Amino acid sequence: MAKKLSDFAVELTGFFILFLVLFTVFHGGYSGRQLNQLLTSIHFPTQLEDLSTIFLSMFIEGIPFILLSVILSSFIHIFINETSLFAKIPKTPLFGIPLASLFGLIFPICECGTVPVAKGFMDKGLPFPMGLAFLVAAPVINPITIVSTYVAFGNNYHVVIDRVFLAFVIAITLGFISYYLFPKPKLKKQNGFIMSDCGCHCDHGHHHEHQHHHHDKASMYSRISDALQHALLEFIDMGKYFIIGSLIAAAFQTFIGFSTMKEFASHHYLSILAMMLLAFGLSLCSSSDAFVAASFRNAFGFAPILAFLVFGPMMNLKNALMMYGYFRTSMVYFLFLGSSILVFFATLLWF
Amino acid sequence: MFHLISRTLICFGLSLMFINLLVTKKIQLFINPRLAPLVALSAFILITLGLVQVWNKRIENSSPLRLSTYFILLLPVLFFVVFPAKPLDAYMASKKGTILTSHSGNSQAAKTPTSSNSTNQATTSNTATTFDDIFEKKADELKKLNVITFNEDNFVDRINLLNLYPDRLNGKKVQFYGFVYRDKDYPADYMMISRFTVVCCTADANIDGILVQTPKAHQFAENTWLSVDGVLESQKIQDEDVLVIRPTSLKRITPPKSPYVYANLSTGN
Repeated sequence: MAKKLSDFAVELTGFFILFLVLFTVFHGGYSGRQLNQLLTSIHFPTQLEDLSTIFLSMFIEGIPFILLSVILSSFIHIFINETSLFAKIPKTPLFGIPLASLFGLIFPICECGTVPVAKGFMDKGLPFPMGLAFLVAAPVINPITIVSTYVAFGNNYHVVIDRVFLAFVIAITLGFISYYLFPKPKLKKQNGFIMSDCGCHCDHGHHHEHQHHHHDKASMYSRISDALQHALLEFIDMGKYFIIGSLIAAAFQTFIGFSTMKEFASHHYLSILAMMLLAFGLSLCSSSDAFVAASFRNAFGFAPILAFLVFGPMMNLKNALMMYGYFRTSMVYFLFLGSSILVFFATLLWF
Repeated sequence: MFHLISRTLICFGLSLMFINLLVTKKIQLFINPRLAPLVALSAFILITLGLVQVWNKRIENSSPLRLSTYFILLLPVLFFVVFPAKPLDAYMASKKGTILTSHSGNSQAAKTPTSSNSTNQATTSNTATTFDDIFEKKADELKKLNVITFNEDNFVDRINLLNLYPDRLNGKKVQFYGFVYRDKDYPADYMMISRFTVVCCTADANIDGILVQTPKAHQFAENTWLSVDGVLESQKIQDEDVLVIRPTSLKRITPPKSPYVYANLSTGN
């Protein structure tokens, strides 16, 4: 009885909120307007307003991709069993790692979406070094990024070739190093949300596990709602890191920005480090960062710009935080150190 | 119960924000309107997820997510409500930094990269010449115009041509508008009439514009929107050949509803 009542209350609240949503949208909301007037009368420092604009723009731009990728990974999680997804793919490192770094060509997701998808793949039996190679390479080696880089640099394909080639080499290198460094990796965090096998409901792990074995019997409806429920929990958990990352990146843009980095333009290798730091801090989407990079062309040489183009999608504030949410801290350190050292020394060759 | 309500609130709160941005068209202050359908899709997905929360009877109420997590998810809504949506301004322009001369000119691409690989260099110069041809043709077309005008669609293209061919377009009449921005490196009687160009979101906005030389420059505060009529003059500033407008008239205008110029991939902007 009590359960029924609480169910009813929940449903009522839902309808109430939905009604409020629709009401506010279509009527603008009286109190909303008054609140708005009050708020516009307060003058915030312009820096804060700029920070808010940039933060929200990053958030709004990233959210569709994060939502789609958590839904994709949740459906993979609920509907595809471990053996079928990667059954036909060679898993020997020699073939597997280069192959995994090219997955991005089939799953065109930009860097906001790779973390949940890579994690979903690894849960479904993609070996760790391959998953890592995918994680590092996919933001650069995908059709959207390739086309936008080509266009941003005035239809000049040698920038594209250098960018893709370098990302590919670094992804493979990191993949092989991790193959020898972490022979039996424990992927997930020991504590927290992501721990249990189904990626959610830690304290209900056993219960859920049980359900999974009976998937065949569960109705389509309940499986879909399971997947959506899973997607939401994953979205909230991922969203947390994404939001904090975007907020820090927006602060970096408003308070430090490119103008500070310009000071280092004339230094030899310092300019590479400056551009890597800039890429890390700005946390731009890999589908549009080429346009920003193109605007630095007159201030910086090609090597630092290449470093910006290759390092940014692999490792930046926003996705480092997302990785931190999903993977063990040591793996995030490994990825951070590995990619920054490799990008730095590799781009020195372009001087 | 608390978890359920918070999750529902997040879903509906975020989708409400998205729908509000779409309905009021303020979305264009944050992202390229081309991406608006994706935002609408997100709102739809979030509403669906919210409804699943409410209707799914089997959902266990407890969850390991903490209170702070829910709070963080509502941060964007908080920012959206507290800070009035407004376009980027001259302060951000100073942080983005302007670089005199070409921003995305094609022949520049060939000038900057130095490659250790000889085949690479060969391809570079090949593409550079072909695209130089195209751009020279475009510059000649521009030269035939009585007055060079700018609108949202041709902005990026024409600014590039101005940056690429200061010598050819010297002396042309021009009509331009944008907001006032002053870099600390500009000489005293110069200001830049500028626009932000946005590819995906304002985080990737670049500042672009034309310098104006007038003794009245100091009369205009930064962020003032101006419309300029004048003549282009090629000058040497910071060792670069730059086209500068010598204005015949300067008018204050109201800021446009759509303050950014959106660069679209398909047109090669």
